[in-house]
Amino acid sequence: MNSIDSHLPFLIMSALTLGSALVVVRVRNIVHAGFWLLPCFLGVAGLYALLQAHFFVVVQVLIYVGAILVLMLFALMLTQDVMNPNKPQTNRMSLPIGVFCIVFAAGVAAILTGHQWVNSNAVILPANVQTRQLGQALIGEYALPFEIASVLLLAALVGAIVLAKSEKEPAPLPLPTLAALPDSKPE
Amino acid sequence: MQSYVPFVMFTAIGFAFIFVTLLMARFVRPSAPNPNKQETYECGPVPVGDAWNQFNIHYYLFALLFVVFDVEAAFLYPWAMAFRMFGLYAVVEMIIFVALLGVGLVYAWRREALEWE
Repeated sequence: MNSIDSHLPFLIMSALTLGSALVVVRVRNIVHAGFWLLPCFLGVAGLYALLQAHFFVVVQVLIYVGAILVLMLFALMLTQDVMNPNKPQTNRMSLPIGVFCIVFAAGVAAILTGHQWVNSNAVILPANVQTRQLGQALIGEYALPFEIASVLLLAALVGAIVLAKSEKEPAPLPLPTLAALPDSKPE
Repeated sequence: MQSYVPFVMFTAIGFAFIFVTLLMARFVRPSAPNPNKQETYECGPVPVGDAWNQFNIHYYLFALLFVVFDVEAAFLYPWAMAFRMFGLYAVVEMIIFVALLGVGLVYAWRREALEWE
């Protein structure tokens, strides 16, 4: 199983992920950088597929490729002077961050090379069983983190609304009825 | 791994279809460019300004709302696979989860974040 053949899918997916990640940080146009995240995220989905984590393949494509990438591109479109290629890509923090990155990478490398890797002989479960077990864990053992995820999403939602709507007063309190809503606001 | 073979084949054929079609069209079509043809198509009128301008922050709100409810949908799926084993407890748990996000939606509605200005 150690031949290059059996590792070929892994190598392709890793190359896709790392290669496009490199382009993301190297390309001058930040919107193009955003678009280059697409093959990067798809490569990660491919790695999940190789690990037989079928649910995460779908979630990766649905959430990261389908939603978060769109969100990032929208955020970039809101940015002033986004297309100026003469903007410097570094700022005064680049040296400390560079040092931090090197130390961090060295630390991760030290941990990974020092770890005793064992081959798992666990049986790969079918996709539906995997997803059901994930659901059981979410409902049972990890019920609290599951609910806190909802609070986190709520916080993100409220935060974005506050940022985007901060210049305006909230609507007067009596809740408008559904029928009255469309023309309740003066244009 | 076997289960992804049809998926990879489908993707490969899908991409091949696009490129083969465009390549064939390239050989068949006459090439007669003129400045009017090469202008950006803007539903008829002459395009004005740059496509790369700053967008309204409103788009971001809609994108974020979409992400939040997309994540919610992703959580619903494993829950739907397993909730029978837990009965009412699982249902109540998901109702709390959805209700918390419902608060966010009501807030967005009340702040008129969903209205286009």
